[in-house]
Amino acid sequence: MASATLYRRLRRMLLPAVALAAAACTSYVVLPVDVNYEKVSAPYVVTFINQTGAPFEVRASESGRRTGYGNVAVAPGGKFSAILQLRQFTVGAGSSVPGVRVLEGPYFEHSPPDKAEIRFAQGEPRSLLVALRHPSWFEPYTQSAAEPIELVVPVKAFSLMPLFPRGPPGGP
Amino acid sequence: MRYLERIDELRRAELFKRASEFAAIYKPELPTVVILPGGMGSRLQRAFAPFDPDNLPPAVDLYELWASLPHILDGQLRFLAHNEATEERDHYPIVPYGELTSIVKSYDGIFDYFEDKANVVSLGYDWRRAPAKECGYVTRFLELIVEQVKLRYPHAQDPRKRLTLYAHSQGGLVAKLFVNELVDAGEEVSNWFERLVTCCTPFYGTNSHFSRYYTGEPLINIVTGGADAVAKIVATFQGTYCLLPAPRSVLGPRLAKLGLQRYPVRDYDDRGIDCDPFDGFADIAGRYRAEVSRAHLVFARDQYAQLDRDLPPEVAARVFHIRSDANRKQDKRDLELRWKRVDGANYSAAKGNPIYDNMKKGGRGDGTVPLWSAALAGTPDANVFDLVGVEHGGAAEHACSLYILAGLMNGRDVPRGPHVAEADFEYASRTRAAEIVMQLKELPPAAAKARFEALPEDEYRAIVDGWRLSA
Repeated sequence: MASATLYRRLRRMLLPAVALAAAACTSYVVLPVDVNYEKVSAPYVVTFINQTGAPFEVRASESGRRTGYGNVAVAPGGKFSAILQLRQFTVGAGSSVPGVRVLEGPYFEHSPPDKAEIRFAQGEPRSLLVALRHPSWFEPYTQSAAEPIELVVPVKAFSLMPLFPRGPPGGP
Repeated sequence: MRYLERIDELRRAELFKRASEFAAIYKPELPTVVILPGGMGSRLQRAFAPFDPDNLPPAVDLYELWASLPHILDGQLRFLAHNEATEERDHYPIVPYGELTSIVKSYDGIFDYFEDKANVVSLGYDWRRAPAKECGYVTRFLELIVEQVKLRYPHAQDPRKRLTLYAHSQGGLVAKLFVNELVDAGEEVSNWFERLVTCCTPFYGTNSHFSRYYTGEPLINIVTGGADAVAKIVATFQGTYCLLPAPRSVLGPRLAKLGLQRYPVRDYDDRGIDCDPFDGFADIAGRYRAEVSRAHLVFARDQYAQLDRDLPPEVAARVFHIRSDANRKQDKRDLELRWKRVDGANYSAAKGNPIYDNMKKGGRGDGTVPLWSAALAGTPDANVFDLVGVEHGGAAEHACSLYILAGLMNGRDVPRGPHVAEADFEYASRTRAAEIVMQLKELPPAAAKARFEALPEDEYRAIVDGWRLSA
């Protein structure tokens, strides 16, 4: 009997304390970030051909603006070339699932995960996304000298459907 | 290193950890369900320290910001705001971390239901960011799952062969764009998933999100500096602009297929006028508050074209939609919105909400997503299932939805419906919910959390499901 009373008293005192302590806690985590930086691709020169029928402007990236690059107007039928170079990496101990990022450049920006974004203006702000995951982006790195490889992208319209200038199937 | 690159690393680290933990409890003999929660249904964890490109620690300490009650009551949701480059303004990294479990527990019913029937894992995504970008993390996550499962079970079948993507609300937008990318990349879709089942996904927009650009979100306003402050925060999220009603360019050609008589956003005073939220004309653009981003609107408009894009027939056959009409009115009609012509440049929340819908007059929908919005026009009719009486917030774990989901997974011939819910979750009134939040705000954080968790089910759900309205 005495122990039952003691138990009830303890429960009355302890439970609210435990509940309050638990309530004060919030979800807290330590996230290991194990990154392995791997190979760099050959440099690419991506040439956009304005086939939209109207002029557009190519917007410099943030790092481009910082280093003195400006926006560039491209007339109908005109061309604009931007350098694009990539780095492969993995995240997670022992993981071999690759990620790709854009090395800092004047026009292309990294658009995670695994895409490059280049911004335009044609009356209003527009973007094109380039898919970077295909392994062929990295092939020339081991096969040839690191000379820029030109990729030609005719721009007929602005769409968020990613471009595949390398790798199957549907290039622009 | 740039800020978004670091965010990318943190996110991959989280997905790796999640995939490893999933593999540890994986049962090769069972099928797999990957949950994509609704918008605001993914937990967001915030780093204790700001990003420093010269000091990248091998492990990052994170605390729950969304949806940790003490931090919400402390007004910390202001940290969710983005700058123009979609970076956190203060450069304290925020990363998604699976589905919400601490306050909102609307997905645990799925885990309970499939216990011993399927391997279940959720993929958190950043609902502030555009689905067109978030969809890439679905691919990465599935690759990590395969890698980690294969490490433990080298001879097991690829988990993707019996994998169902179960996407609630905004998660369905992420999932559709993931499927698009597989198709565009020339992938064999059957190598990636067996089926995609969406539940209450706003493929053509919501009726609840529009007003947030004017008057914020009622319960959150109370604890985050008021309606104007919340409206300004919402306007910084590139990802949620696609919760506005879809543009005319997308809906126009689909009206008949979606069962609509006309474009569903009308001018408030002259209902003969279409009001496309994405139009750049002065009469439309001028209605928005100054902080609403034209760049984000254009991005969302372009994204809608991709969301609506037809899939090849063999892929469309793998896509299923569950949609709900929760409206109890007898006299049903198409859900429409009306938009008052206001002077956006000089607008403040005190002037009231200029967006109206006809939910109370019988507009069909689940409270957040109009019925016409919850199935893709290109999906075969036989793959669309109707619910009656199920509200948006708890729909993913509702018994009717799980019955349909399990039926599809088991190869049963599931009737299209309508499946009438015998009972939906009980909800207290919105007024009562606001009253409770006001009371919680006055309490110390620990006491507020304890009080909150002791709330009766109807009051609890009125608050947490309310927070996931865009969900």
